[in-house]
Amino acid sequence: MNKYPALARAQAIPGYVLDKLYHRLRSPSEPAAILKSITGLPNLVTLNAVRVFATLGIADVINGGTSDVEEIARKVGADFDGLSRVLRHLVGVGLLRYSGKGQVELTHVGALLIKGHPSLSSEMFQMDGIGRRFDATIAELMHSTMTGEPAYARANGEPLWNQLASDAQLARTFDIDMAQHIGSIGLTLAHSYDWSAISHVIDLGGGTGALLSHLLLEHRHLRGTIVEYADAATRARETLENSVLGSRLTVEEGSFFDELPKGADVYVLSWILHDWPDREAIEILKRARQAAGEKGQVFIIERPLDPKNLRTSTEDDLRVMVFVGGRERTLGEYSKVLAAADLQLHSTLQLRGRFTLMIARGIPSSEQMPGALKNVV
Amino acid sequence: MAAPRLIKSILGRAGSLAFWIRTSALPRLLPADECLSFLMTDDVSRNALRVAATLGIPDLIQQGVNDAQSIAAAVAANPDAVSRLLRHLAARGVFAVSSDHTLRLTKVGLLLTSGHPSSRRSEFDVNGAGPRFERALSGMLHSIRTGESAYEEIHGQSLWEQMTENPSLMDAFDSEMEHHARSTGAELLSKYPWNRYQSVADVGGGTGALLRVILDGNPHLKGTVIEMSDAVHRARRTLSDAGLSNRSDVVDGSFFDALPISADIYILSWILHDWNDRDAIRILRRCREGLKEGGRVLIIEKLLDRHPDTAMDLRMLVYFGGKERYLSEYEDVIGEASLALLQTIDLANGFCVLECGVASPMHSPPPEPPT
Repeated sequence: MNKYPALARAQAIPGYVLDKLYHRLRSPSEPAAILKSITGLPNLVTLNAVRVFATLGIADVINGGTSDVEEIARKVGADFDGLSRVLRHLVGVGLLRYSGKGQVELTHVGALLIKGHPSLSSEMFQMDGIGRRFDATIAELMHSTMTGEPAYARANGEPLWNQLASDAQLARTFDIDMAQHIGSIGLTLAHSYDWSAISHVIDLGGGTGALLSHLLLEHRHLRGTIVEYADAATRARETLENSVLGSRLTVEEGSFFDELPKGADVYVLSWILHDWPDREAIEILKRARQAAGEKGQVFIIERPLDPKNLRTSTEDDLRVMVFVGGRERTLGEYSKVLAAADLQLHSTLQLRGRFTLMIARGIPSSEQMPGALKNVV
Repeated sequence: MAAPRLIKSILGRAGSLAFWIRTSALPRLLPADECLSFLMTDDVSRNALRVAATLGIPDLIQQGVNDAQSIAAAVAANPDAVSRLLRHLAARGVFAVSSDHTLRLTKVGLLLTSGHPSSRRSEFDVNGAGPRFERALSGMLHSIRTGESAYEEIHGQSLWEQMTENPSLMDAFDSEMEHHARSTGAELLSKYPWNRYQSVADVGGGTGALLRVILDGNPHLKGTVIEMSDAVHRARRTLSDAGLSNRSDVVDGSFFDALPISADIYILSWILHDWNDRDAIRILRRCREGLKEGGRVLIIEKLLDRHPDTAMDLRMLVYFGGKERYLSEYEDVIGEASLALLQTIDLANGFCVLECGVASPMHSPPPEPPT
């Protein structure tokens, strides 16, 4: 048993030390990445402490010149003892620093939570935002396992899409969350594909335009259209009201389950298909295929499951199952749903952070019915 | 130019290295027990483990029901969802998949079977305390605004009330406390001079697990568990199962009232951190009042000085309105109860024993005039 004393010692390291080590190893250098690493590992204590910090607007109070914890507590209407303990925890995770006895100041990470910071972190971590709803939903994994159905409604009263339509504050945090994930791949997408032959891109379920904005800023000849559902279209228009892209980026109200505007060169489905079971995914792809016609292409951006390295995506798979009844698929499974919509996987391109671009094109009618076509020609 | 880029690329890769360590290296390196605790730090795995344990999937696999379809049928769950759940747990090292797609239990999965000698299955009960605590954390804002527990705000009842109504919740809670009692008890046995005392009472002693260990190791001692009415029979069972009925007792009582029996030693193990200072002082006063001449109060807690576990501190605030304390803060509440800290004994599991005696009165009363 004690043949390897070093190993035995290593095994005695408690979990929280490993957790620290894990954070340290992730040690990103940008504040936004640090904040993500602090809150990304769903340690519910830290996550909720950051939410309390954001919701009470403490970063703004400190930024306004108040550093005394007792005074901060008075200004935000918090219990002094409780608040000083939350702040003590946040000193530990690196959002704050002690600058004197009972005095705190913001670190460069804590400063992200000042209202109006371009990272929008303060809004992301509001207590009544999407994060807390997702926490409650994942706890209902039992329900989804028994029924195969999503559990968001069970945890939060009504299905996610309905709640987003009726709760503006919730929708705002959802949009920011999505935009942060998708925006990060927009730039990579702009540079990893030759866009010179493309002129019009339609982003189906493109949210508030995070992806198209990046793309259009990098390629001045491109025109973009976001197709979004009623309330989401309104939110997209509001977000893009003062965009420098002007008329190059437009918003059209519509659903990817209905007929879509025709004639664009590229139809993007970014992080959409994994929200839906096969039947719906095929329906969406059929609509995209119809609109794209023979010449257009369908760009699918997802994080496919790698059957040889399942560690990467099984977690996302259970998340989308519980949140919305969706599923993560392998490239093979994507090919199958594509084929069912008369689309063919033409090529794949590795984007950043496990995101993969799958380029699909309509199966030409000649390949579908080779015999019949030959006779006509 | 090249150097910063190189550093950046290494840092960029550090993320995936850390991911590999977390998901692949650690499960292989860590002992099964630690591995299970480690998986608890990730929300999806934590809930997936709970579902598997609650449905008894590890037991089924052990009995030879070892493919996703048959498991789903046996527990009447959705086959697709079950196979995805199992796929995730296999990816995290709880199960291993054979070439014919059947599942085997790894050392981690084995810990979730009911028959394992140190089975942790009951800790992972979906209806147990864990998920409730997690939900309570979403009420942290309430605690920070009021300084009080958020448990009632979120659940409509305190945990103690819920446990009275829900025996399975109490089971889950007890098994966690028992885990703690086992790891503390053995060391406490060798590090404390039990031979100097005759009687010991574990105040709020739960299932009696800690007292059992202490009595087992000290045949001369008599012991008592003081617990609230609904918990009494469980402690009684633990002690009689251990063959200790003849020198142990379980007495119904609250540590906020005068303690029902007097003893040489009162143990308060993992009790005080559940309470705010005012209540902690009340509990300590009851102990001092009941103590026999020359008796001791043993407070067993983790100290913030040794473990700056501010997360645990916030948990205690949100769950119970309690707190983790520095040694000096314990000294304050001990002093307020007219007790004095005599010594501290550090245990290997991170806990610390604070041994307290009755404080000598600052001004001793004038001697009685001789008659």
